[in-house]
Amino acid sequence: MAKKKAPKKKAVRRVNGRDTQHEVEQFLYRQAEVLDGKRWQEFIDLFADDGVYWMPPEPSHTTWDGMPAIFAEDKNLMTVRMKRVLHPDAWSQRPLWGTNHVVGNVVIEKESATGDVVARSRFHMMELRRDDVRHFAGSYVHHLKKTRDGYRIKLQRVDMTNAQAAFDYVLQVWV
Amino acid sequence: MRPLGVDKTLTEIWHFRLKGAPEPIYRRALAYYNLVNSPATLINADDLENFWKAQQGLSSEGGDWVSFHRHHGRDLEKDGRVETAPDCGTSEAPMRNQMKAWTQYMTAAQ
Repeated sequence: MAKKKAPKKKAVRRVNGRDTQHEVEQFLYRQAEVLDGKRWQEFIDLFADDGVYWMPPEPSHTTWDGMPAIFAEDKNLMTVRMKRVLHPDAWSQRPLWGTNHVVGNVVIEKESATGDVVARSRFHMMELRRDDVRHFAGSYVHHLKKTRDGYRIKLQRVDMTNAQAAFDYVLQVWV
Repeated sequence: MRPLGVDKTLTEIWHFRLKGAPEPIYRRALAYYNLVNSPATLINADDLENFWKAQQGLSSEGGDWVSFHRHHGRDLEKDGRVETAPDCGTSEAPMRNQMKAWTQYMTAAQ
């Protein structure tokens, strides 16, 4: 008896195709959600082992390496940041602030044959620290690596519209 | 640090590449810039919080005293000079010393 062959699944992954668009959006929303939920270990876990979180001081910068930055952190440094903020003696960080991110305008810039993606998006973030509300906004560029467990971030670039403005207080976790 | 008003101080960080200095010097200064003084600093955050708290305290109706008590009683005095006791890197002995000198100057006979 001839074995019935399963129809070959065609991998259709058009740029801005529905699947990739949807998956990337879900990934970005999840990242915002863990950030606002202060689930910082989960946030760090979204990065690839060699992943970098980078916030340049201004848009003309093309690399974090050897350049001044607001943030330029690998996973190791991110872990140091998380531990410091959560340390019981970090009294300057008490009470912990609240944040609320909204991420949108998600555009798939590039998708490789292996499913790695470069995506642009925009964000607004409201922060409540004690009685004061601060507002940060800007754009993200995510370089995402496709893995068996979903996307992992190779590089997240954050260009904050108010990066050059004076802050009432420094930023203590990732935006 | 740039005082802008009695209740406003701007802290800025500038990073320099020294002419002719080896690259590791630049890299080291950069690491210091990113970690200690960037607008997302892990270190200076406590100092900035202190400035804010001192200002809040001074502008409030609360006590008139600013505490410099950290490691008080462990200062070492030698030949009229106050030194920070060993393993007291964050002792406020220098501030106590400064205030002591100020009191002396202000109360000295004309």
